[in-house]
Amino acid sequence: MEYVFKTNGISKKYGKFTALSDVNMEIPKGAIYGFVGKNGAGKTTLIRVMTGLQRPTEGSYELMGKANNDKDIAKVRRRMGAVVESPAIYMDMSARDNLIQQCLMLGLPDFKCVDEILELVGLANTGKKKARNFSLGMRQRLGIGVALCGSPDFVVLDEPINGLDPQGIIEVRELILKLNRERGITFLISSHILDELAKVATNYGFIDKGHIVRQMTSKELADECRKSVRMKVSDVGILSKILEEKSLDYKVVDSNTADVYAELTFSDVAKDFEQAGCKIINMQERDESLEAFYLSLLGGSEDVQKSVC
Amino acid sequence: MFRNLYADTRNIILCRAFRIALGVIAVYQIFNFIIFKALYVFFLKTAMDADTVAFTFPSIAAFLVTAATLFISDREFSNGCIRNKMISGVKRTDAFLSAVFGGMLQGAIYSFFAFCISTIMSLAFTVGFMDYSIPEFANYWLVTTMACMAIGAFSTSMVMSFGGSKLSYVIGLLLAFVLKVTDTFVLDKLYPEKGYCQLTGTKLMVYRFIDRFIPYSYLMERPHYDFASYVIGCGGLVIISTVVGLIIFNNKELH
Repeated sequence: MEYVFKTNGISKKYGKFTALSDVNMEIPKGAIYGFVGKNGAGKTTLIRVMTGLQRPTEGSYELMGKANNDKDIAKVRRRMGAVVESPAIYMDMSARDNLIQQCLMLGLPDFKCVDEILELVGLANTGKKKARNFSLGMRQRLGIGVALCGSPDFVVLDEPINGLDPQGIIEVRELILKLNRERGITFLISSHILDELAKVATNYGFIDKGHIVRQMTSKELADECRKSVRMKVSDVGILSKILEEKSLDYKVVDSNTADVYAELTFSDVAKDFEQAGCKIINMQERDESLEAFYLSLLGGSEDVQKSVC
Repeated sequence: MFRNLYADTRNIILCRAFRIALGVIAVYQIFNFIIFKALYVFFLKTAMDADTVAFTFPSIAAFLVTAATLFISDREFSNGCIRNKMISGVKRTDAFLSAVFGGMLQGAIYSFFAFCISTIMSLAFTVGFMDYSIPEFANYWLVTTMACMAIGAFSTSMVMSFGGSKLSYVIGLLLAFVLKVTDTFVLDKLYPEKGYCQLTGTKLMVYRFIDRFIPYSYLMERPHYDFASYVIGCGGLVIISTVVGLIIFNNKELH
């Protein structure tokens, strides 16, 4: 698999404080990578390292195939756009002037992309209105517009929907999906609003206390979060046999527990198990959202797994 | 680096603070002119000479250039644009040098703008120069422009080194104030109104060094050293602040 960003045991320390510890993270090309973590977990630090604002204390990373200490890394960064923390815009300039400014900085031969980007981010009708008079949502969209100058292959968005109204959130979401679908742009989106993230992300990375706790695809997450019935039985072998006879989807968790992905009628199940000589100890319905999954993943675990993918 | 310099120049010109600084220069000079004109008309009852109004800008130049360059450069940090430059693949050295050139350019523009207003007022509303010949007048403005450029480079370099911390405002403006007060004191000791200079030895050398090679003092008194001294003073400040700033900025972690 081709990765736009790949780290190799990155650590970042500020004095005695360790912000990132032995981070291994891979962002596949074409993915919308949802980057999830609590405040202070290390999300923004990793984004700063990734974008070259800060240097890792230990470890290395590759950005679109170039190592972080490669002399040509600056050229690769021109194929990258980012909105880190707040949108980087000049308040005394109009939306159009801001995009021209970015084109000049990137050394683009012309400004043909400006009108297209303005249209794309829904700021085509702002005319000479200065960015200082824009609403928060308009500034956010302009920040994304700036990040899109020069047709980047990889865009990093740190909390892109912070402070946006519901309409703004929908617009940004649609924009991300459209750019990913039509232009194949890879996105890294860090967000606290997990259910919103779940609507766009194709891959996830969970970070806690500077460690990548887990990386997974949206399919894997859907499987984890799928509505199921957790059954605790005396013999999981008999349970497997019964469920296979009934062609029901299930997953064995341990020697006497399994998750069954089907709607079960308790009386029917109890009868079948009794006939097969297997006791049902308990049955519990499970239905996890990304938020619930995140909490169950990070809740109080000390022996967190470092980078599983 | 040039494309970045062009982008930075465009940003300065489109910036509201830049236009406000130009407005302050115009208002200050016109206000001074009106006050002096009134004094001459109502109290002195003589025609006003150009010497009185031609060089009012240097008295505010150090503060104005420092404040304007600090503010405009600091915005690069506060609005995240310097961060965006790094992310977009602009090399740190290029970004730094471009910002310093921008600071120098601002100093030059403010000085040139003040010169234009001063010249118009001097030619149109006074009887002409009493103590200055045209080359001396030009020399004064040239030294003022060079000093403003050096101060612009120094304060921009300071913002880039401190990474947008408000400390750069405090240090920059405090330094301008302290140097202004020091220069007044130094000039008073070197060129006392009554009698002769009483300084000797190291103290005299230090005072002469400040008077001769520190650009802030060029804005206090009409040029009285050879032109090379002013070039060395301004060039020295630009080079020192650029080299030191570059070392700090290249090793700095941006947030």
